[in-house]
Amino acid sequence: MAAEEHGEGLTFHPMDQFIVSPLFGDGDVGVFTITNATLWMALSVLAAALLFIAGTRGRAIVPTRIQSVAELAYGFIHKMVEDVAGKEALSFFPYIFTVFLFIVFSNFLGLLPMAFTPTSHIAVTAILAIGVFLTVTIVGFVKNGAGFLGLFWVSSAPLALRPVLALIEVISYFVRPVSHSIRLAGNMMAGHAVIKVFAAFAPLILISGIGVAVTPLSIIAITAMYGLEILVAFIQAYVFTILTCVYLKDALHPSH
Amino acid sequence: MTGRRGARFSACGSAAQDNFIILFHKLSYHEYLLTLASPDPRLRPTVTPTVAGTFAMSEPNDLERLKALDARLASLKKAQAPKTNGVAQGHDMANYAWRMVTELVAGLLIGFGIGFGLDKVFDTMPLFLVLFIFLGLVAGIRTMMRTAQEAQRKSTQAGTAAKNEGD
Amino acid sequence: MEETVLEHGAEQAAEHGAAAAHGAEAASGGMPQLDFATFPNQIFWLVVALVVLYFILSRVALPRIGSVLAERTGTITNDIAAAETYKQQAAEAEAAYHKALDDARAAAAKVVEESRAEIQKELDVAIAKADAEIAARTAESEARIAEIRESAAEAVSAVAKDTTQEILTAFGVQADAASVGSAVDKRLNGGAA
Repeated sequence: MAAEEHGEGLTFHPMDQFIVSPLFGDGDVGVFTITNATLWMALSVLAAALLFIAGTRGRAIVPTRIQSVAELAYGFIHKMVEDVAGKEALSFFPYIFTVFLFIVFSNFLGLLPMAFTPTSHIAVTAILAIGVFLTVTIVGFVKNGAGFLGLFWVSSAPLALRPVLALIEVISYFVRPVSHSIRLAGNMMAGHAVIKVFAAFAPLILISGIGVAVTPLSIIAITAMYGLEILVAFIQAYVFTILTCVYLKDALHPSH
Repeated sequence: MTGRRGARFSACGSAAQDNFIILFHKLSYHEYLLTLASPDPRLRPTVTPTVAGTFAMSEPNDLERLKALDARLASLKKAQAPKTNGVAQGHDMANYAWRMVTELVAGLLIGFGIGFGLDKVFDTMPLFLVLFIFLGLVAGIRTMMRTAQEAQRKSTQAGTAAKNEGD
Repeated sequence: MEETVLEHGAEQAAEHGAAAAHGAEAASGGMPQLDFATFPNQIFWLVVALVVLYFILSRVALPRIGSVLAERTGTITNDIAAAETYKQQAAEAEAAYHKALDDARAAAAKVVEESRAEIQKELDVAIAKADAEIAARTAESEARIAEIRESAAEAVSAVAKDTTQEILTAFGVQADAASVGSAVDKRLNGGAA
């Protein structure tokens, strides 16, 4: 996957951009070490806070441009939560909105050159997904009590098969957060890695004659990938959020 | 005259205000009409300055304007009303496909993890691994099928919604 | 592929545990995502970031935007309602105006009708008067014509009598004036027969 070619002076390090390293000094990555991941997470939070606090400071009835962006995002997620998960799920709206904004800003800031993308790390997306998973599961048990376990007990199947089916259902239940996190991290990682690979081809013109053809092609490819990545950055945040809403709905109204 | 008022109508949307002026001239209309009814033609005024501007009221142009105002109000009201459809219109099939693939992989991974762990604990190396990879695969396929159903339902829903909108 | 990667990552993690190698070094060959040494760090900072963002949003931003949106919805609804009221009033005003116009037309028509009737009456009187005068004049003229005719007839009969007398005298017939007169009268009144 991380092929390294030194033959023609081309260097392929598409995965280097994902390395977590301390921001100050050169030591180990401890729990509280401030790393590049820390920096870019903080920047995401800062950007979101800036948009939503500085942008809405005016509280204008006729919004300014930045305020209408904030309102658009608010309305978008609010409507999504209400439409998908129902009115009673609106108490989770701040949580869902936090997750959405964090993913969106991480994804978009990660598209800046030299940036680090926290959401390309399985550790980050797994925690996000586990957070959603725990929330949904706890809500399910609080709302439905032990009846929530009925979700795993397929009463329409023959009795002998039920334990096996229950096991499968439990695994299925865990499939969702896992696929959730793999999906987000995989998308972010793949796009960034592909861009990096194309980028590695770009300086070929400085090295050999074949670069006359390859360099423009790789630049076009990078541009196209960037466009796609901008789309993906939003769509993945959207998908993550809407699936959170869907799971929340399943927990609030368990009926298969 | 009408041109200017028409421009004002579209520019800042004060058609209601504009029409409201008529209200303030209501009395003068009556007065005007009373003088109009006077038997002696020489007593009837040809033009009364205060009324002249709004006297265009009876022109068909004004009727049209009232109708346009009506339509505008209706559309504004509709825009205000909460929309019901169109949750995940941007949700395309590629996304579903990608979701299904990851679900399958996730099922396998979970099965692998559980089986591997159990084998380590009970020291029965390939037994639980094989069993749970199989179960994980089935679970992954189940989740996948559910996602496929959801995708299908949504696409038919979107289709009917589009058809309804087309009508 | 996933499995090999996972194994790879596991290997690396094991390596880390044993040799405490640097993350960057170990990751250069595989996926830095599976460098488990960085997981606690990422998870810790992620949780911090999420909690901070959550509090910023739930304490400050969301209530603010919510209130602004509610206010705007209220304002727009009110404005539309007000616009509709005004439109209603305008329509009423127009209706009233049209009604007044119709009333005025009716009043005007009535006035016209009245004056026409009055004029007609005056005209009738004048015509009657003129008729009467004309009738009187006609009668007078007829009377005079009759008188003239009478006198002319008298004159004719006198001339006829005289002429008859003279003719008879010229023929040498003696006739008394009375018989000639009656004969002439008879002739005049009885026609040729």
